Order: sequence, then C-alpha cells, then structure tokens
Amino acid sequence: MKKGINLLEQFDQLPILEPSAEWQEQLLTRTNQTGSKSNELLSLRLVYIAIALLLVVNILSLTRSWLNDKAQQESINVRTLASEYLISSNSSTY
Amino acid sequence: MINESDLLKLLKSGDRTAFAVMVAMYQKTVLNICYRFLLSREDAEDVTQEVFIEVFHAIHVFRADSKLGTWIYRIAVSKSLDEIKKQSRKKRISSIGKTLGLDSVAQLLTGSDRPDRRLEDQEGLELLMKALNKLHENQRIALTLSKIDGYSNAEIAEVMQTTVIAVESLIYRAKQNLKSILTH
Repeated sequence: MKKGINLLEQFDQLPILEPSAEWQEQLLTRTNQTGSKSNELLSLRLVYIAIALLLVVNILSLTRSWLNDKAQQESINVRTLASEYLISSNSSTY
Repeated sequence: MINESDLLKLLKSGDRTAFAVMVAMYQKTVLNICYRFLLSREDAEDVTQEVFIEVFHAIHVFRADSKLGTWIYRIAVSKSLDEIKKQSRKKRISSIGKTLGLDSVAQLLTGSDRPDRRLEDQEGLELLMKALNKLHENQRIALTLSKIDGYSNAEIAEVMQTTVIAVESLIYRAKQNLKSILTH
C-alpha cells in the first residue's frame, strides 16, 4: 500500500528536465540532414513517378493494339461469314 | 518577441532561424511531456527530437486551427505513445528471445546494456510504468499532461480535443485506477 503511494509521489515529483546545448546542436544537425535527405527522397520519388508513367503508357499502348487486333479479327470473321453466306445463297439461286 | 503568425509564416518559408526560435520556445515543455510519458531522460530526448523533426516537415500542412504550441504538444503525446508501444513490442520480443535462450538478442532489443539507463531502470519507475500502461490511453494522456508544471486543464482539453469537464473526469478516474493498480 505504502509502496504504491510512494510511487504516485515519485510521479508527482519527477524532475523538470532542461534540454542541453548538445541536444539542441544534435537536433539542428538532424534537421539539416533530413532536409538533404528529403531532397534525395524527392528526386527518387520523381524517378518512381516517371517509371510508373512509362509503365502506364506501355500498358495503354499494349491494350490499344490488342483491342485493335481483336476488332480487326472480328471484322475479318464477319466478312468471311458474309462472303460464305453470299456464296452459299448464290449457289442455291443457280 | 515574435508573434505566432509571423513565426508561422517564417517557418512555412523554411527559415532556419525561425525553426531555432520555435525549438527554443517549446523544447522544455515538449521534453517534459515526453519524459512524463517515457520516464527516461534519454528516450524523452530522442522522442523530443523526433517531435521537432516532424514539426519541421509537417509545418506546411499546419492550418493554424489551434495554437502552434497545442499542435506541437499533440505531436509530442502521439510520438511518446508510439514509443511506448514500440518499447512494449521490443519487450515482448525480448522475452521470447530469453525463453529461447537468446539473451544477447534480448539485451540488444531492450537496451538494458546501456549504463546510462541504470538510474531510470529503477524498480520503482518500472512498476510505475507498468501501472501507467494499464490505464486507458485517454486517462493516461490526461493524467500525464496534468503533471506538467503550469499546464491547465483547459490546455490539456485543447491538446486532447475534448472538454475541460471530460479532462477533469479523466484525471480523476486515472488517479483512482492508478491508486488501485499500485496498491494491489
């Protein structure tokens, strides 16, 4: 019981910390570092975006040519069917 | 003394001197908020640095809905809670390591080989930390912030984005719960 109360008192009486000059210096160094790091990250991000765009363009052009091929194939099929029908209807007329 | 809106403008323009001024203005309170959450000077110093680095990067998205200080203290609370979670994860992994007989791995993860932590790893603070970890997160935040010198319930309410009455009730319940945890 007493131990618990002592602990609560310990929590109430935690010292007030003062940041040291060394700590402040370290912080400023770290922010400078992260500043240059963030520039590096930005250029890396731009490279990733460029690669992603290239991929998207590639995928789009592949899809387009596949759709074109499909449409062409379908029109050939329709034309074949039509000519077969014409031939068969012509031969039955004669 | 520079006013807050001028300081904000300078900070948003990436002015390093303004950043140093801002650090000087808030470092002590942030350090003590983190210390009361983490109960270790070294961890508090590390987390305080993380807080200011975050402020440095995120200042352009700060819309001044609240005071700059309130926003910084909110970041301090959230970073401290993240650190507590990280430490408990490490402790869990280290206890698994110990069970498997990998003592050196366990020691490395908890940092218990660091001589500067000897004082802070006292049994009392460890027990207090365990008890605080058992509190509901909101109760813990309210209680911990109430231990910061000169920090009013209204300011705590601003940081926690709640009402003063809610803060008072959270602090009351936190004290009751902490008492019962520590005395059983």
